[in-house]
Amino acid sequence: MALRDIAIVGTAQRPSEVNSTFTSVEILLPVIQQLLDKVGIERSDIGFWCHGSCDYMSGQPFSFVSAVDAIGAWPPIVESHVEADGALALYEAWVKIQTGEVDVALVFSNGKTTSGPIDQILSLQTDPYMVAPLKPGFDALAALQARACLDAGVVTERQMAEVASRSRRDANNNAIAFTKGNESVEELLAMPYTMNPLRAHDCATPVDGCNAVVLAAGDIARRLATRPAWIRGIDHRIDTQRLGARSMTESSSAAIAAQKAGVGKDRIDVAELHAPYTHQELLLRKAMGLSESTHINPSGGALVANPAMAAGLARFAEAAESIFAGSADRVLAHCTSGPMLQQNLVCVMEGE
Amino acid sequence: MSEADGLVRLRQPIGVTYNWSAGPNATSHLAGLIAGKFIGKRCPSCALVYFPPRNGVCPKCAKILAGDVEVGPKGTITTFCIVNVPFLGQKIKLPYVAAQILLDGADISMQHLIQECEAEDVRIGMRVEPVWKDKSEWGPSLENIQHFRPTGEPDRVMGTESGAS
Amino acid sequence: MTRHCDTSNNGSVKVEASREEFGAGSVVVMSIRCRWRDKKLVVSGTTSHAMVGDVFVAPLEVSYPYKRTVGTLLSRFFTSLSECRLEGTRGSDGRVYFPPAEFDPVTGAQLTEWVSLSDTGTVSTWAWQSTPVEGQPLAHPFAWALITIDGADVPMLHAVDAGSPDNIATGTKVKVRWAEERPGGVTDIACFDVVGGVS
Repeated sequence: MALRDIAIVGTAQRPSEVNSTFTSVEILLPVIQQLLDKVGIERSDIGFWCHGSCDYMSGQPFSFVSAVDAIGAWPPIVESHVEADGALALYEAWVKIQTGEVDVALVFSNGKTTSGPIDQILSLQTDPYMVAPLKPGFDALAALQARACLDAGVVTERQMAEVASRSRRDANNNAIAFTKGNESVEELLAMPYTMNPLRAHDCATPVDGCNAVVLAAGDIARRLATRPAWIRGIDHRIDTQRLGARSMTESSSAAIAAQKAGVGKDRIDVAELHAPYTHQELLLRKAMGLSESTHINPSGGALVANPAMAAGLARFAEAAESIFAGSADRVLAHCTSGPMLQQNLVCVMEGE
Repeated sequence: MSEADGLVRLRQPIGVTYNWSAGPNATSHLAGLIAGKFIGKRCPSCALVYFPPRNGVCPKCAKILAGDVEVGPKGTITTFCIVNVPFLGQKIKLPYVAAQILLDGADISMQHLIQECEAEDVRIGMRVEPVWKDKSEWGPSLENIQHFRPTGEPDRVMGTESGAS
Repeated sequence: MTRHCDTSNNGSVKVEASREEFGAGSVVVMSIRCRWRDKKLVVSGTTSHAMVGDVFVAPLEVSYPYKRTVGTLLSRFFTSLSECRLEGTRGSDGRVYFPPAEFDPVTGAQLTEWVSLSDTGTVSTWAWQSTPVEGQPLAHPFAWALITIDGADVPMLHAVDAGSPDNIATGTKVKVRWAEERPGGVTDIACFDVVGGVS
């Protein structure tokens, strides 16, 4: 079966905020409407809606699926949702279009990350017998990985601070980002550890946010966008959930996913990597074999705005926008899930 | 640690506390309950009245609800269930009736208890009215109402009301 | 901080709520009952509701009293743990897992060979929890660590009561400290203590 050409033809993101008093539905609805207006289509033009989020973000059972109120499910729609980042919902939508059942899909994701203790909430997804009862936070698990990388000489604290400094500067040009700054590497290295060996700036800022993209196939995509961002490869791999049983100093799932998505076939102009911790960006760059000429996270990345369940799809939106703008021809979008880069989804997109 | 069939069972409770926000579009509804009133909201597109104003959005039109509408206090039972199964923390005597009540002026029904009549007398179309708790116990919640009871009025035949059930 | 309270009648008063309870910038409205009794003003109140600006907010506590069944292999593991014994399982490639693995993470094979282990181990990586959270193994600052138990090959996660981040490094030798009460679970190990120097 020949694969259909499928592209992202439009994106919308809500500027990040914290302690939002809007409901998830009130946050999502204007972003979805904004996207439909941008692409120039109606709700009835969408063949498949796919949503990424998680009830654990707001703590209320069915709060995730109740976001269907934001998309107007009448007359009845074809809809699916994944308990994961919107990037994984995009993968499902891509597969749905590949089946030929639909031609246009709208993918959306949201997380009111600051309405709960996210560091502890994310740790609830760990092994319920051996890990979760100890209540290690997500930052603590990342710190264990960072220490292993530092001890093995795979990364240095200076390199981590360079990632943070660059990301915070780039965020100044991104209306969606939350954390912005102009600190030098020395200034950042002088800050105290918050979770030795991590400092505050080594950890992503949790924010409330949401976003959405439209996928379309073939000539429909060419009608809807001047320069569609064509998905040339997409792959998703998962390492063992057992913390001690996989390497702390490399990401095999990211490497395999990148290879299968075709990253190495040609140069990558822009790579939007979902790296909630500075050392993880360094690990991902190495795992995917990205060269020095690739521009990493011009948006500032997840480090400067990390809406849980939506930070991965945000990378897809940013990468696609660089193709729309003509500032890149071949880009990479990545999403991670689980502690210590356990799962990795990699996608390569090109402009025609 | 306890055992069942020679296998271990571990007690592993989990608990998380969140800051829940009702959102700006629920404010008049919740403030109304504090004042002893039923305030719903209307969709600016299809004009349906929602009580409660679910997420502040019309689920049919995907529009933010606008315009407060006072509904009730009386309503009509659109469907009901006689419950014989006890649940953890239950205070009500079995059997009890949980019913969907379409308040006068609303286009979606809400759920509450029916008391002050025999369970087998409850029927679709029955007219009911709220029985409020003591005012000192009121907060922004439908729990301000102890239960609904029959008004004794003639039944309202369903299908003559507007909107959804 | 009380604003104004009408003491002639029962009324309501707005009180600034603590950040931890209701979130930043919230205001709690309390129903206040004021009564004179024996020439003394008696004030009692209950929280009616809380708001941030015009929006109603409330703490939402979600908790579940889970009782987990652990299966055959882990039943043996947790039983031995409660008896202060460490047992691991051997994987398809000969690597020993502690805590034991039911299935080999690489081949998926069911693992059945048990290996008795001592109560000492080596830190293979660590991090410092400078502000512990309720429910974690220790209430004062401690180290998280992946610890490879002597005789095992795949490390486990636990806490080390090192006292200071200067007292722990990759290679530090540690020893199990058993909990006095062992109701079952990985917390039957209270934490690990540092013994001797770095290897």
